[in-house]
Amino acid sequence: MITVKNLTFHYRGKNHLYRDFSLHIERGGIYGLLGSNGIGKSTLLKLMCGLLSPDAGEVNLFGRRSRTRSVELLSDIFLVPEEFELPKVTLGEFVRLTTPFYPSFDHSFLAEALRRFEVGMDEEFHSMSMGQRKKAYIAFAMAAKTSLLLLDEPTNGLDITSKATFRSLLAEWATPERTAIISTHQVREVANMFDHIVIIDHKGLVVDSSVYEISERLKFSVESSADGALYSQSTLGGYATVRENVDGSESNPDIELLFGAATTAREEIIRILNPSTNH
Amino acid sequence: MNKSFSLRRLWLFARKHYSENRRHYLVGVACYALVLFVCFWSWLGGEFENDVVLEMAFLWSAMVMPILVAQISFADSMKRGSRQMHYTLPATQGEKFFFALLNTLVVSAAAIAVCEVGASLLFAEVPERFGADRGNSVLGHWFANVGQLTALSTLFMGGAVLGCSASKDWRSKTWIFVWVAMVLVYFTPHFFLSPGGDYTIGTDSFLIGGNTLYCDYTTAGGLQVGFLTPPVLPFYEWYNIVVPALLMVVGWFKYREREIS
Amino acid sequence: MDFGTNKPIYLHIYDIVAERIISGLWHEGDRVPSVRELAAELQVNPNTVMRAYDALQQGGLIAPTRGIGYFVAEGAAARALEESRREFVENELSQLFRRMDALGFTPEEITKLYSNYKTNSTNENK
Repeated sequence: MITVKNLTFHYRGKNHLYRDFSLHIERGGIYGLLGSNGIGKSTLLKLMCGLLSPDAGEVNLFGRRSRTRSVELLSDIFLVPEEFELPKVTLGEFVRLTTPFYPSFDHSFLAEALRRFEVGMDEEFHSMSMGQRKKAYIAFAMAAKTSLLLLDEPTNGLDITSKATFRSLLAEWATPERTAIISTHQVREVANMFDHIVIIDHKGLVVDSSVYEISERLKFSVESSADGALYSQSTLGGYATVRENVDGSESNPDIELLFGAATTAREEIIRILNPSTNH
Repeated sequence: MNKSFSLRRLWLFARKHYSENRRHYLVGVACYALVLFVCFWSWLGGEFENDVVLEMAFLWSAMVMPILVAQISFADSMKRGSRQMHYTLPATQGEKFFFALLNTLVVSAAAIAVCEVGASLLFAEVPERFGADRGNSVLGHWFANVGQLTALSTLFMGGAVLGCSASKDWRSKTWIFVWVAMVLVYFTPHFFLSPGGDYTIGTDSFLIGGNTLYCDYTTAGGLQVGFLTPPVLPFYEWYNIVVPALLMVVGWFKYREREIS
Repeated sequence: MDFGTNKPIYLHIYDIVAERIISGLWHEGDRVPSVRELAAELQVNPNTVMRAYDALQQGGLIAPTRGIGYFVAEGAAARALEESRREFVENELSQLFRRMDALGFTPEEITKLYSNYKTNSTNENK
């Protein structure tokens, strides 16, 4: 569905964020896009929407260059940026004015999402708190039922109950026809929702695997010793470790540990998981 | 929905723009009405020797209003917080740009029309109340000619549209860009065309005489500097159509090319 | 939902469903929530629930009815109970026995303690 091929990109006057970077995103699934601050996650999302153009290489969506900013592409994508400003209208007015642009919009989904998020249609955006605004916009984004949903730090600024509501709604939103890409640092908040993990670092792609593949090839466990582990964190009861899965055991991938391992044992992780391509 | 140009989508886009920017338009209209009122009122109440105040009204409508209107029209595409949403809204770039452009042209033209109508009502008053001579002398000024005013304003519209499409930052850069561009556009040709200058030196900050717009500054060394319109500025002169059109076309390409970070 | 130990989430979900069947919360013949409904309730990826449902189907606890959804299978309660008991004996019970042995408990002591527990809990329920 999304093909990033040999992408090279840099902002004027800054270092290259991507050099000959390639990635393929399938239709249907919830992708986690992880990487340290400033590595270029938001930039990648913007490249996918056609907001930015590559210096070299291609970013294609549904087989067409994103940068064309064509209506067919735009009506099937929705981006919720990390920071945004909403116009000085009520939520209800905004809905009335904006939904006609999205042919797949589902009003009943929106109503249910807003009900659960406890945001009212009659409220003015500028009188809402930041968290409320975010929830309203996320609800709108999901209700648009676009094939591609891009969320940049969606749980930032949400309280605990709202984060839970977000996860529930995401589970209801997900179908095999739709793809969500969630760029986040708050991994624990959404880890159970991911189908597929993409981890990027300054050298390029480190991890590009399904959660299932990760659980098959890596073993996550709490052990008394961290010897031989690719990465570990000390916890009550010993060490939370991640190792190569040699005994075919089934464990639940701890995405935070995976991220740690991707940082400290990059080559090992790549070897074990065999991602598509990297630099 | 139609892939290229859809009138329906344009209408939806326009509706969205006007509803969301309601406040800006209300404030804009109120301010403009106030400016006109102040100018006309003080002209009426003054000695009629001071045409500057009236000139201000016309200049405001011809030069400032296009810039303000262009800024409102293009605001969503320029402001950091809203531009991502603007550029990802499912409408063609052509529709988005065309609306902003059309809106700028129409609303600016409306502003000029209001000024002209107000002025002509005023001028109609003058001979009756204060004698025919004064009214005629005022009417003789170029700025009372709608064509002249529109010609001047189209150049500012073009400049403003280009400025809004190309600039990375909001507001101040647009102003600076347009004024600098206009100074360059007007100042340079005049030097080449009539080195002697056909302008009057005055002590007011704006003085209009003949066919020139002159802004007077006396520097410490006694050097007088100004910016001037080309000596001839009739309506339908080729550059009054071509230059603004060119600026707008360049604006379109800039708008399309814009990278949204 | 915090799933605690490192067991894969789909196995946790399996346990949750089995428990609901054993406890009688879900009766045989009841309609089981759709994949999406359960995913939303537990805040997990629907594909994970799908995996759990596949396993539950294989384990004979739920059965699909074409076009309608999943239902609790006939005899599921008994099957689930038997499976739970087997798992308990294999895992927790052997661990428990090891500890009891280490602490020097005799079988008679254990039987007596358990009988007392059963009597007390029956009294509480009255």
